[in-house]
Amino acid sequence: MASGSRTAFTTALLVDRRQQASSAAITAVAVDQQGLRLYLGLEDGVLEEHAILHGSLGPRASLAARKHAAKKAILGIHLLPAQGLVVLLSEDGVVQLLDGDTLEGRALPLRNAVATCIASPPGRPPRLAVAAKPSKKAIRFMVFELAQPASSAGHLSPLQQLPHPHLLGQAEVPDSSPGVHSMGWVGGQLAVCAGMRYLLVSPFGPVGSAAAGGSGPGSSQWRELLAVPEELAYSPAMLAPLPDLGRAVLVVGPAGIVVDAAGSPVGSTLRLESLGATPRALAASGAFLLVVSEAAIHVFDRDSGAEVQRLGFGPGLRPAPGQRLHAAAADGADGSSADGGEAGGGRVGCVVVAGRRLAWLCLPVSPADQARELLGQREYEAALELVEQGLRRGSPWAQVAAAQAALLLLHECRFEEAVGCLEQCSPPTFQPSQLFPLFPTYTAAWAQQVPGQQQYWGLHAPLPSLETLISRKLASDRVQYPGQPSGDSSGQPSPTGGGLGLKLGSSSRSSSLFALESSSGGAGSPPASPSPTAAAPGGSAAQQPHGRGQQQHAKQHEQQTEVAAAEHRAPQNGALQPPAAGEGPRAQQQQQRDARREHLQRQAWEGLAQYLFRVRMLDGVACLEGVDTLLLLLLADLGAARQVAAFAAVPNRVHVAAVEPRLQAEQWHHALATLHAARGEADVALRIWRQVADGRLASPAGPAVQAAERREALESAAALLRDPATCPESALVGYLPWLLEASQPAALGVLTARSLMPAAVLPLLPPESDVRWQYLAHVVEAGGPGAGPALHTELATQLAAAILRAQPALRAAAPPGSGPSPRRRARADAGRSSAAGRRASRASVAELVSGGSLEPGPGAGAVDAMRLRLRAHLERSAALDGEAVLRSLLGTALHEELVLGDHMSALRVLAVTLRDVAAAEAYARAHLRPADYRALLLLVLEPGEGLEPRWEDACHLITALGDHLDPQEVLRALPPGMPLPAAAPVLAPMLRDRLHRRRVAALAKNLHRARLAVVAGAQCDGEARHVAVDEERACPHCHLRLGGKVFVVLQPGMLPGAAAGPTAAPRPGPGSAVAASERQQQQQGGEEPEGLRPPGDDSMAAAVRQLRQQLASGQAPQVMCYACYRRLAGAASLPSTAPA
Amino acid sequence: MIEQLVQSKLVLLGEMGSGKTSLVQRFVRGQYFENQESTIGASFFTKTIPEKHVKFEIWDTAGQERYHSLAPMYYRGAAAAIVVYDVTHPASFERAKKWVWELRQNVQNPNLIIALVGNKVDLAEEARAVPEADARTYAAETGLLFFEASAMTNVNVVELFDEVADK
Repeated sequence: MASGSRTAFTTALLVDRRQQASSAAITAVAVDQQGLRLYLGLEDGVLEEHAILHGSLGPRASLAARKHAAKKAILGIHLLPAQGLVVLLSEDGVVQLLDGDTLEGRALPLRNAVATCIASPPGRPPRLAVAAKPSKKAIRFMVFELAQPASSAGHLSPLQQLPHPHLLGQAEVPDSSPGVHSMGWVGGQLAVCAGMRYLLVSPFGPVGSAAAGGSGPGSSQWRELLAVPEELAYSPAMLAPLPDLGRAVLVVGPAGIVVDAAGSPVGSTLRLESLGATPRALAASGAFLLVVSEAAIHVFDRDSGAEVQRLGFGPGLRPAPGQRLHAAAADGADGSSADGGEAGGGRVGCVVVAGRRLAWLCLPVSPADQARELLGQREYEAALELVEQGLRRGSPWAQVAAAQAALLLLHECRFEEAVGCLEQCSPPTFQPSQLFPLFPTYTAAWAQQVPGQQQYWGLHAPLPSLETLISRKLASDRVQYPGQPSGDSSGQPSPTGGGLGLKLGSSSRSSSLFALESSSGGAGSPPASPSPTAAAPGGSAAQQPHGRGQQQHAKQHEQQTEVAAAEHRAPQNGALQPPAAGEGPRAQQQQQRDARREHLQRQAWEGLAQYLFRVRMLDGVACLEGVDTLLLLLLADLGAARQVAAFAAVPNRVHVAAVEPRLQAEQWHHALATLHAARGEADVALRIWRQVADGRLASPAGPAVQAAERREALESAAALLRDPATCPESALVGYLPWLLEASQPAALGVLTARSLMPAAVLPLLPPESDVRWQYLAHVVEAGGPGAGPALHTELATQLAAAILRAQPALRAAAPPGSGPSPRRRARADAGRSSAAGRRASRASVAELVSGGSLEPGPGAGAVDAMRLRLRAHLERSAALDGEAVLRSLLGTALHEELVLGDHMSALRVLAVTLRDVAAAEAYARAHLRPADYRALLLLVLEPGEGLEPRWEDACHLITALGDHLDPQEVLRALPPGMPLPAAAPVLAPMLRDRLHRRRVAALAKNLHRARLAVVAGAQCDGEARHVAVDEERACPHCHLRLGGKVFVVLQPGMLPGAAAGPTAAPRPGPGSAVAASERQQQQQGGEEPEGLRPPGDDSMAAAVRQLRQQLASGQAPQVMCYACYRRLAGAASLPSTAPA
Repeated sequence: MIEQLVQSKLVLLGEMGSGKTSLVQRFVRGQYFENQESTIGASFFTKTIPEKHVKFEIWDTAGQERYHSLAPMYYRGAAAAIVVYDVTHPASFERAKKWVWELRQNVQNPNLIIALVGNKVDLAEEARAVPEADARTYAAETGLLFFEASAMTNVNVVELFDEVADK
């Protein structure tokens, strides 16, 4: 009986009262949420309860109870299953509460009721709203709370158990319409359809916003939402509440307007004009709104406003025009749970539709069944919407539906959308290996490991090969659009891409590795042009790049078909050839088909590669080896060399043997070597990389790409050799000579990265190579067990040899004194570009000999660095054989290195040979005792036979080391007959220096004397303040022996009053408290600002005066016992001080 | 700094066939349909203008007279109203004036922005019946924004909504 694109509900005729002679017409209906109980209100006031039995032939009703419940027709029935209540509204304006089991009940104390509705606020008793018509010009709305009576010990009859309605609120609306057609809760307010007006009534207080049309008393409790204009009054006004949304649908002519609790419209209007008949009843169920007309039951999606299904009444059962129809959904607000469905935001319950004598039950169809049906009809858009909803809720069927949709979409070559669906499936639902049949050639090795083809909902055929799929698609396109080039949908996502399909796009963009843009070549990436092997027809399928193995396979299968024949004519490499002259439209069509085929193929490869790359990282993926191998081959089909290399570099389980011919054919040697390396086949990988680096294996790309490939191969090989976990030492030893030849830095990197036995390595290192001494330096500095004296010695000799190789001029030793003096050399260097480096070198010599920095200075050359290194080694190493090293250095110009260890020789070389007196001075300071500085001076004054004394340098040394040198040595060295003017340049500076030293010494001497005088004065002062107290000493005031008593020492000048002048300040000591107290007294404005005030007692006053005089006269310190001091201080009103 | 979007209710009013739905379709979806179906009740669209931090909730009302009584539901609480007339149809201009008057009477929002839009300006050369000067003068006198636009040729459509968003 259903028609339309979707089966959201099924209908069944439940009650047929046409054959009952005395049957009264149905005037009200109700059904419970589960569709197990049907209540019919009849025009004669009878209430019938029917049990709904769900059998294999569909639901049927069985009369369970019948009661004459009202005197007139029953207009409304509401079920409260949680409370076991049935609420009846009858035409005589009576509202009854009936016990659900016995149908016994009592009427509410009100009259003239015209409409009722029920709400079940969470945690509160249900609320019953009643609209009554107390007069012709007003409607009164009352809300009762149906609270259960308190339980008592005794047994209560069903009547006693009925709730006592408690009036919560009411509102009165002026209205002259005959009654209220329908009423429903919208949030905490009532949406009311009275006559042709829609009202919003708030029985509990003012309506939220200002009244639109109401005025006068009570206007704040209601508001007119709208009045149906006469032009639209052809359709009866009615409303249906959407309790889960807190909204209501108002029917205004051909429009269904959804309003919220504030009365504001929400969303677009439901277009009821398409019904083709007048809507007679409404019922909301879950995400659907059922509109009952005389023609059919129309199911609308309340979110989109679209009619999704049309249910017929059945042959011969169509209601008569104008007949009153009733519809009731299981009260969604009754608090009962709904097990039946879950589509949309609300709970899908049964809906009962009734005419005068017939009643139908509309049973909701589960979303899974809806999706299955939609997929069966290939209505992907609607199906995928449902699937998305199910996925959001975590419904287990949703993944199955997604997998089913993906397989169907694959059959239709809608690869992007299919992949979008597949990505919603976890591996337990859909194993990527289920895609292996698409690529039988690539996955033949794993055919036995593929889990059995899952049937899901059984809507799809087994997957054929991709080529077959595409061929079928092209063939069907030709059948459907014989005159068209079938390129209408090429590359364009279908409209369903808005759902799961679009997600693919976003997710594919998120994958940087497999963002398969057209420019996927890159370094080492051969272009997508035909490779040499492509022209070789005898190669295996797997050896044919760019998926041509698959193409060939498919062609062999379909040679009998026209499609395959056409395909066979296609160029092997996929590149399109222009039609030959004279072939005409047929050739053009063929060309278009080829382009379409190529496009679909590429789309499939891209989509599936992206899917496989993402899914392979999930847990639970079976046959990962096959998946990875397929992925790599798909990438190869796409010509994505960079992605292939990247994938080969990540941990993977690619079966190398399966891809090796293909990679070799593509000449992607680097990727192949990477795979071998990852499998622990270092020998194979190194062999490939060696061949690539040597140019024996090269891609057909340009020279720049080939150079990059060689570089990459060399780096990769070096990286592999560096890793002891993947490359054994034997392989390293085998490839080291090659690596040394190819790149010494790379070889050195390998040697220094691994801990190898020098005995095994050194024979491989040629003596003339820098790598040898660098490796030796590494070994020596690392200090391992193999770093014996021989290596220390060899390092020095090799390093010296390297220096001499780098700068042959150093091979011959310069004669002593032949080198320019530092100053002359500096002058000469000033004009050269390398002056900075040379200066740095000279400075570093001084630093070196004086134990300074070993790092080459800025601008130092490689030779300088090596020499510094050599010197450092010579200085530090205690294990080297000095004689052997010296032998290697003798006769060379490596003087600085030679001097290390023999101080006299060092000084001679520095001062005489190199004429670097600054370096010699630094060396002397660092290594010689001051008493031995004379040797350096003598070297300068008597450099040797045939050499002139260097007066200037001697003067420099006298100045620099003058504290330890005697200038007379210079004077004595002067030739006896030397004229004074000639000696002046030598003598003058020395004399000036001596004079300066003398003056400095005199100044220092006098300063010392002054300091000594100050110290002596301070010492005298201290001695003058010294007080010796012994057992015999007595206090001058009480004349008692001090003995072991506490006593006080008052130094002269400690009392301000006793001081002769302002300089007499109290000092720290036993009397300091006295002085402080006096200061305090002065600050307080005391009358006696100077010293101790004379006490009133004459003797005490005299004692104080005497003490003051003694202290003021600078006599010896005064000593008294602490008791006398307290007395004196007390007489002077001073606080006591601390005793000595 | 992330600025919050301001939601703004916008309602389109005007004579039937003046092109309200076409203007909205052009603005929201960039589409134009030659034979646009007549609107029933009202259609609802949303459109965000990120650079202006405005999210328009657009109510495209039905222009047929029989739906006139529904209009207050839609323009109640609106921040802006676009009153559309057809430059080739003088009666639609008169109807637009009535809409403006009704808005002034019934909308309590003193800051309501009203834009008067003469649509179908692409036909102006051949069949203009409402002089631009007249409409502009009326708009100036009544304090309305004024645009002449064409949904078909996409003239002044974005500018219209941008101006409303700015206001």
